[in-house]
Amino acid sequence: MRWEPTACQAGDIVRVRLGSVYHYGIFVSEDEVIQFGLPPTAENRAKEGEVKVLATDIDVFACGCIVERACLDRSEQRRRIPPSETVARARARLGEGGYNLIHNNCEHFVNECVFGESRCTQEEDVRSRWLNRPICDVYVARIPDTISAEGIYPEKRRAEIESIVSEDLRRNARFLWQLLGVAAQHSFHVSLQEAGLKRRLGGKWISDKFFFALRAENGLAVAVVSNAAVSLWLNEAPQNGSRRVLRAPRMPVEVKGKNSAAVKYFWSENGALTLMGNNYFE
Amino acid sequence: MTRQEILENLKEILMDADERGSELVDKVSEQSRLTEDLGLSSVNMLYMIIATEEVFDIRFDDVGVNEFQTVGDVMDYIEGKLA
Repeated sequence: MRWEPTACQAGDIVRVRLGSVYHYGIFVSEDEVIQFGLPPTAENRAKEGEVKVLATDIDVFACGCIVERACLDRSEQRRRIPPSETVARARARLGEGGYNLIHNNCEHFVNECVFGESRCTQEEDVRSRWLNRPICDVYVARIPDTISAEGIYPEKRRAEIESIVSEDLRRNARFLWQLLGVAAQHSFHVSLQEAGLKRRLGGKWISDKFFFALRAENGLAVAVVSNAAVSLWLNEAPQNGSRRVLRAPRMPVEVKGKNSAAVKYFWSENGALTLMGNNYFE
Repeated sequence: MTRQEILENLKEILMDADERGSELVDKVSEQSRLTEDLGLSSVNMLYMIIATEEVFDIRFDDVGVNEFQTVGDVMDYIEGKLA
């Protein structure tokens, strides 16, 4: 479907761009554009009660903006309902309510009238943007004096950790793996059991659900999880990266990876997470 | 889920929705007005609502254009749906 500011015919889908969203209608004539609710300008929002399907002239629909007409491709032309029936369907719904910003809006309305299918590309685009957003979440926690080996999975990793001779290193490793569990659950909605964790030949542990890196130093544990390859440095950050400082205690942290621009920091304490933003810890 | 947890999740969504990041999140409280105080555009509002559906596994099935004025209004709606 292409959009062009050309002359319209009865049964066409028309739209106007208002800020960053579009308002859609079914063109019948210059005096009759059928739409679900008035164009969402500040003025119309203030005066509109229940949002209903209504008809206005083209000037009210346009709000001073350029009206674009949907030019259907061949496949869409084959699928479309004949224009006269589109107009009849739109008119039959005049006065209908039940507006919903996400699930039943002006775009759903025009697609139902023209294709018999209720869908909204604006909603689909935004949902796709959310589901495919870059994730690079950093979890920071103070390492407690004592920590049990509970919650460490898989068993092979648990055995590795429990075989560490140094008590301090063993405690750090236990806590880091538990922090990874918190991160996996919060950022990717999977438990360690569901994370597909396995050890590569080189000895590095990986997940088939996300990328991760773990570090512990100066009494702090840091776990980063991402949907792109990621690495993590504490204290000795390379010069060419963005350096962030955890000030309690003071410790530079660097996250490098494709999605590092989307970094978010979380402070984890007693099972509660606090979003610290994308900047420094205070 | 506690009200505080709902707020933290909403802050995270807002941070994803808007490129201002921390600058925006620092302003967020229950009383924050979505458009006047936080300056959310209509697309960011749409993003916030859709992301909220995904994160909290709820459906905004009875929402009009003017339903939400403040962050607290969104939290009330989520709480009602989760109850």
